[in-house]
Amino acid sequence: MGTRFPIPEGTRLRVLSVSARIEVEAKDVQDMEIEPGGRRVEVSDDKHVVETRTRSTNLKITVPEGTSVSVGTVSGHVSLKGRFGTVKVSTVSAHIEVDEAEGDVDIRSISGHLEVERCGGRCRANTKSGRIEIGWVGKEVRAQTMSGGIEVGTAGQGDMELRSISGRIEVAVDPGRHPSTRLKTLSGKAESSLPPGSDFQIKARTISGSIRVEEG
Amino acid sequence: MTPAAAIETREGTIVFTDLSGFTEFTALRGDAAALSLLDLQERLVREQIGDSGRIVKNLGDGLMLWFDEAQDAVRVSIALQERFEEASGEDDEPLWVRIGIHFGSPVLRGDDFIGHDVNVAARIVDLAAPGEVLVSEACTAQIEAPLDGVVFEEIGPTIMKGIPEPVPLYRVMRSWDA
Repeated sequence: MGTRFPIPEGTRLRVLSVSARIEVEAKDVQDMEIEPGGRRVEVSDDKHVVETRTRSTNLKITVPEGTSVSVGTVSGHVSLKGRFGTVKVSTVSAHIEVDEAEGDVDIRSISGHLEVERCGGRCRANTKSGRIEIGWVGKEVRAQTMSGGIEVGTAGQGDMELRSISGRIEVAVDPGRHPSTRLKTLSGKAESSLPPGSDFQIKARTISGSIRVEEG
Repeated sequence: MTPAAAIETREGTIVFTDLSGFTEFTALRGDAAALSLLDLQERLVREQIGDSGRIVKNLGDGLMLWFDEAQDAVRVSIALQERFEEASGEDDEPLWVRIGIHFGSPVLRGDDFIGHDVNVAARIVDLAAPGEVLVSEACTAQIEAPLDGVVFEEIGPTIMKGIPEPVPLYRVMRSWDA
């Protein structure tokens, strides 16, 4: 049984962890619930931030849909299921999975894979060694990895800057949007199957990988 | 019991730069091209620093810099990223540099610095993306007046390996990019 308490609308959840698995689920509920129960929870003076910390105890947290979430961890999987507001996650070596954010997403890891199913705002994803998969993003994207591929689907409503040291970059653009492209690779093949346009810009660079832009 | 040696600390700002993809670039283009890329990075850094700071040491594919004033470190770092980007575009050189900044009181060891604050700065650059400048709250707290054309965007709580307390970090951006 977890600890349940009401949170005002607009509250941001902040979770700090060393090595625990952090699972946050956004559901059609009014209250926040943290499992296991009995954990210390701090609320900021302005009531805008609810913070909980764990060293190695895995946490499962349920929040109302649309809640904004920040997570900082060293290791341990970070999974955000459901529809959130804005999302910020930083980790040293964990994988990060995000279902959906209505707002901006900023996720970064030193050695973990990053996955975002859907981001309605701007999306930044950065990892040193891991792949990046962004299913669909509504606005600008900046995604960078040193050793891993990048796959991004875009609405074509914001510029894209993608960089990989040694990995393939693949971009799928919503039908009807025509980007201007600056694709640069030092040792691979760069190609776009879309007619050139000026709806938005795709800047993709890799040192040893190929780049492909196509309709998604 | 031997008395502890007196240590000299200095308050100021530590900056680490790290050239991404240097190993891959060297493998593809050879040692001469790699050396030229490092020289380009160092030349741009020297030009941009001027008298506001100094290069503490060369770390192979990165540099450690020192500034007495936090605002100088931030101003120089963001200007450097613009120059790196310009150079990458013009010369087809992947000058993809990550920059991390932290303010503290490291121990002076000759011309070098060591200690916890140096370690924190090194961890910060690890989390930065190529082309990005990340700065700790300890550094932004030193900047009293707003910097012209510069904004700080919080990136959320950050727990770093070996550093017991969370380190709040900010992305340094041009106001027109925010």
